[in-house]
Amino acid sequence: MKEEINLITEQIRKGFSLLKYKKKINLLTGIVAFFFIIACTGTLIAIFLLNQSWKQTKQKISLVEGQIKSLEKDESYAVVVANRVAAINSILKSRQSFAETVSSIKLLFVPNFQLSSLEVAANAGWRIIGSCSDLQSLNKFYEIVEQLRLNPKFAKMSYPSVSKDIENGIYHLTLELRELK
Amino acid sequence: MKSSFKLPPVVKDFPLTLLVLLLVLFFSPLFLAPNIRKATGLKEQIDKERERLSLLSQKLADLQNLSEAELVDEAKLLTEALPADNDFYQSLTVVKKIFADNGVTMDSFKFSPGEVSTQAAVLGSNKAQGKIEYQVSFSSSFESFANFVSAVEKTLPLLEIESIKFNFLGTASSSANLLSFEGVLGLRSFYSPLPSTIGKIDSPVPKVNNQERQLIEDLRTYSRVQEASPEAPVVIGRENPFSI
Repeated sequence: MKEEINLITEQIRKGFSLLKYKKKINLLTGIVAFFFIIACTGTLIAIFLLNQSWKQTKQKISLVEGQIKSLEKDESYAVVVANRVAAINSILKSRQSFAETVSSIKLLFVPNFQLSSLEVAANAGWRIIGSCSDLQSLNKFYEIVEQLRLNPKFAKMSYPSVSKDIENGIYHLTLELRELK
Repeated sequence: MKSSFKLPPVVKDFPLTLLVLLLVLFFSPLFLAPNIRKATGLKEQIDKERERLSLLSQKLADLQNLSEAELVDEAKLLTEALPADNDFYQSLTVVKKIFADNGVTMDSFKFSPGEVSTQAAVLGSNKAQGKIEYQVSFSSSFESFANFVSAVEKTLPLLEIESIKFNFLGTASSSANLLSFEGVLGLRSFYSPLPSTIGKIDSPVPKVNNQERQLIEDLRTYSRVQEASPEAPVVIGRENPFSI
C-alpha cells in the first residue's frame, strides 16, 4: 500500500514537474530579461532626450525674456495706459452730469416766484426753497415741477410741500426732489 | 563531513530564470522606478516651460506690435486726465482757469488742509485712487454758469461737480440769462499714483479694448489745461520706465 502511494506521488511530481516546461520558461525568462534591458536603456535615453529638450526650452525662454526686457519701456507705457484708462472709466461712470441739471434749473425762473435757495447734490436730488405771494405763480411753479418730473432723470421723485403764511399772504415752498427707493 | 544543505530542485533546474528574476526584482526599485519618476517629472517641467514659452512668445509678439510713440502720447494724455500726484495747486489752477474762461467770478475757496499732498504722503501708503474735495464760492450770470458747468465736464484733468448751492440775488424775471446769482460749488478732483511695477515677466501685456479706445479718443476732444512745465531733469543711472 505504501509503495503504491509513493509511486502515485512520484508520478504526480513528474507529471507536474516544471522540467516539462523548461524551454518555455527559458524563453519567457529571455523575453523578460530583454524587455527589462530595453526598459532600463529606454528610460536612460528618455531622460537624456528630455534633459536636452528642457535645456533647449530654457534657452528659448531666456532669449524671449531678453527680448521682452528690451521692450520694457513699451510695456511700462502699456501698463500705465491700461491702469489710467480703467481708473478714468470708473470716474466717468460714477460722475454725474450737471449740464442737464443746470439747463433744467432755468425752467424754475418763474416770474413773481422768489427763489431763495436751490441746492443740487450729485445722486441726491434737488432742494428748492422759495416763496411767492400769489397763487398763480405757485401754480406756474407746480406746472414746471411737473415738466421736470416728465424727465426720466427726475421721474422717481417725491412731491413738494407748501405752507402758507396767512398773516402775510405768502406761500413758502420747500421742494425736495429726491429719488424714491 | 558532508553538508546536509541541499539546493531546492527549482534552483538546480532554472538557475538563469532565478537570476533574471532576482535582477529584475533588485533593479526595478533601485534603478528603473526612480528613472521613470525622473523622466515623468522632467516631462511635466518641460510641459510647464513650453506653456510659459508660449505665453512669453505671445507677449513678445504683442509688445512688438505696440507703437511706442502712440503709447507715449496716450500715457501723457491719460496722466493729464488723471494726475499721479495729489496736487491741490494744479487742481485749483485748472478750476480758476475754467472760471476765468467762462466769466464766472471765484469769490473764495475752502478745502481741507489735511488733503494737500506732501512728499511723504505720496511716498506713503496712499497708493489708491484719491480725491481732493473743495468748495468754491462764486458769482455769475446764469448763462456763464451754465457754460462753466459744461466746460468742467469737458476739461482735463478730470473734475467732478459734487453739489451746487445757489443763493439768488435778483428777483426772477422772464429774462433768466440776465439773472445774476451767487452760490457755492462743491468740486472734486482726482489723482491716482502710477503703478510701481510692470508685474511678472510672463503676465500678459494689458490691452485696451474698443470701448476704452473710444474713451481715449473722447478725452482727446476735452480741453486741456496745462501748466508751464519745468525743464526736464537730467537722468542719472537707470532710466525710470514709468517717468512720463
